[in-house]
Amino acid sequence: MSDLIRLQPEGLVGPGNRFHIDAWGQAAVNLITHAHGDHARTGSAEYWCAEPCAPILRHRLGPDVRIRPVPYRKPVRLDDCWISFHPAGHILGSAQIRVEQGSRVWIVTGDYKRNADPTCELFEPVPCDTMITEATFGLPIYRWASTRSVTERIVEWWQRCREEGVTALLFCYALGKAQRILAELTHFTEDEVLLHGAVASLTQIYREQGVSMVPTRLVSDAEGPTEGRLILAPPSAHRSPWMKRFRSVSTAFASGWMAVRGIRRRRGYHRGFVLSDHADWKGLLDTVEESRATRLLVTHGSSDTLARYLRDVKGMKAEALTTHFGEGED
Amino acid sequence: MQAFATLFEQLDQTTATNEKVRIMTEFFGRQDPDTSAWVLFFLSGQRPKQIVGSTKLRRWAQEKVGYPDWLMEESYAAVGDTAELIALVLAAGENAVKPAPLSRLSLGEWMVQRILPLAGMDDEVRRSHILEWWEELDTHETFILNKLLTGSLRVGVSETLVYRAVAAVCSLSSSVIASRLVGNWQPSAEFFLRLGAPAEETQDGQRADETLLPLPFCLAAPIEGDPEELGDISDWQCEWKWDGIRCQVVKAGSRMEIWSRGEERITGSFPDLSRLLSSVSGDWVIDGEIVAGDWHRPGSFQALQRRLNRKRPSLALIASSPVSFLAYDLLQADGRSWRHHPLSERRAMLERKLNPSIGERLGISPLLVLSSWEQARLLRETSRSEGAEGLMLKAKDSEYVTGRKRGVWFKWKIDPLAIDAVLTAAQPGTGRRASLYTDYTFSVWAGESLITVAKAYSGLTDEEIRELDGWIRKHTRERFGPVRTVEASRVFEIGFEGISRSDRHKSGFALRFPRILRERTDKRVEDADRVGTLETLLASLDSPTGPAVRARARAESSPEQEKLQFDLGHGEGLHE
Repeated sequence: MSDLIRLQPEGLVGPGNRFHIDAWGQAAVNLITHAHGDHARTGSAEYWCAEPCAPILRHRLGPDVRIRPVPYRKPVRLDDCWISFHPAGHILGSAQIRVEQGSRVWIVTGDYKRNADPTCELFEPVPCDTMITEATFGLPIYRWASTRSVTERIVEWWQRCREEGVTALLFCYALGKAQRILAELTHFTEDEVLLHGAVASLTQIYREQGVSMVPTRLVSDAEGPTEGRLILAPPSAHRSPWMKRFRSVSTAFASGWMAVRGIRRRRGYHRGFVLSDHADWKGLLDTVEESRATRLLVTHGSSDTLARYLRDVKGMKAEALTTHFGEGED
Repeated sequence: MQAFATLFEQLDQTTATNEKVRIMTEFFGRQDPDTSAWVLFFLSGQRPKQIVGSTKLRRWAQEKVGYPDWLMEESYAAVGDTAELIALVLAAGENAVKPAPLSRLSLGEWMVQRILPLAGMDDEVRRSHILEWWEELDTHETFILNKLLTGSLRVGVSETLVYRAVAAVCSLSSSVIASRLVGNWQPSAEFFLRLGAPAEETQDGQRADETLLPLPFCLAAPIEGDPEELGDISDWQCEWKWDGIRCQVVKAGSRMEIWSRGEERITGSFPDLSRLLSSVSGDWVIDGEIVAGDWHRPGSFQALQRRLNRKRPSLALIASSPVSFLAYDLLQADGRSWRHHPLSERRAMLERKLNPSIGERLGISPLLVLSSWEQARLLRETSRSEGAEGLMLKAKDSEYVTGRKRGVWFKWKIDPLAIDAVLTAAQPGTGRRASLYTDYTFSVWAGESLITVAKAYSGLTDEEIRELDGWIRKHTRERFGPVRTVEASRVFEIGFEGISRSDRHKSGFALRFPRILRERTDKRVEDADRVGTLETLLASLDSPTGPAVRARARAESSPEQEKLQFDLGHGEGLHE
């Protein structure tokens, strides 16, 4: 029997080429796990996604794109397949995509994490026969501390910046990570946080969907000096001309990659906060186990390593799948 | 331990020197004298002998988590540091538990009660202790413990910054602190309190206290364009550019210190030179270079590194890796500063001071008498066979200035030897370059196939490294553990300082100091050099005392050593 979901030059494709999942080429029906750029690309005739993902996808892909929002967990018929979207806990609207045909069930996890995140629904394990899982942090060196403890460190650093009269410039991905931090900060403060333009528009979409976050304002609309203020900006703004407007800054980066000292030092930020929207090593292994899948296809980052570990150590059927989903993101 | 781990983390997070001093000052102001003494011990670059080898420590950690070798290898490639790898692997395992009762022992208690006594125990006992401690500590503390055990703790602060911080806490001058920290000392609360005692008023003490720190170094700028632009050659003092460790020797009374350009005290690494230089009469500050072997014809920088890496070299090492001191300049003599006198006067004074002591291991950098720039050009071409890496040009009427001021001292280095080679494999670097493909393997043609000719780690900008890293990941052909072979399609110009025959290298040649000069986007893979080119190069350079002989020393060292040496050779501060 051929695979339910196969890898084609343009992406992952379902039976009879009726639909794609996170295609990087053109597709008639493109099922989207989440709205990050390496998963949601332009060029498809129609997009299906989890309901809370739709406004973000619209913002990313433009007003003319055909989007069909599907509520979480609701099976939808597509020829002889049942398709459903299940919370992946990665960012708002992120989903694992479940494809059922006859007696077969496949899951494409997209990106996911197992830690709680106030901006999106918690990851739900979904039983399946075959799982296509990500492995961005698929090495036994990654273990995330609680989000609360990381946020506490961010707040301490901000406080220190205040005392020293420097601007606290925190770089993080504009979609997902930034809003997660803004939401976590509500446990510590009601102070306003300033945003880079790229972060601001996405934060607005989160607010419209009822995500509770600390008050925010565009950096360009800030009154008075920025010293002592916390600013969220995308990593692309680090060392860009945009930074020249601040006199003295302390820079920080919130990412899972900050777990390794060498990377922290190389990236040249003053501080690194280990905060990831992906599963850590234990999270990946737990997910594989809870899915009860008998066959694993591994994509993203350390796909070879995780696949080999599942094969050699866990005695499972597992292989790496080469996709165009971004290495190095988070 | 916790306090020290936090201090380490804070110092690790900033590059600003003032900030580092502030962090240390705050720390010493807050801590008890015993902890302060131990922290000072480590911050000032001292460390007890290695208690456990890193290979052994890694094996114990591996046994605990039960991972196969290949998984440890892959993980190491992502982390690039054994102590950190162990800490992360222990914390990330499926069955890892968070430390329950955190250890409240201070750094001193850890050292005295736990770590140092391990030295006398057998492996099984040491192993069981260490496994127990790993469970008491959080990830960062485990990392620090591993560094302490393997004797590889390095904190990114120079000694002079540490002195400034301690001085601020004790309300004393840095030079008083520096002088009180000379030589071997045992960390203890008493020691730290004595360190902070008010400065003594006795004449003797005062003099010694004030004069043991180095003065800011005068640095050379590279020559850009033609040397003719410097004017008449007779206005310039010409010397060989020696490939050694630039340093200042400071002598006051019976005490003496050798300082590297990075203001690290390296006296302990060179007891042979200290003895020799002590015999030069009077109090003085002399600028010069430590070179390998005989100063008449110095050896390679690699030979020196065997010495530099040892805080206390054994007699056997001193005998097998002798060094010499070549003086350049005199900055102070018998209570008088010479820095503002013209170089020609300083040189005359230097010769007067040193001439009586000159011998096999102590010399003055010879002056090259040249009548034209053309002659200088020809002489420069012979640098390699003199054991030099080019010429130095110093304005005869110049003062000894601070830093790299243009127009005073110039270095006129020889162009490196170069070949065009194909990138054929890569693996992740260590430390700052962990998880990034930065250790490149280059090959040249031998018949129809490409054979490895060199590994190079440096020469690209951060941006080029990132681009190449992404390219390597997308164009991988095969993977062998952390090593990836890649499509042969990119050609680079590889520069190097010397070439020798080597049985250990597939190509039959070893290159000295290989580094990437630039990518040759104008060349196709077929246009890369052939192994015959190396043969021709070697033949053209070969002289019995030429670079080939010296390069052999490098070829004989282990690959790991080679890399360490390379990194050090291009590190900050040590090597001009």
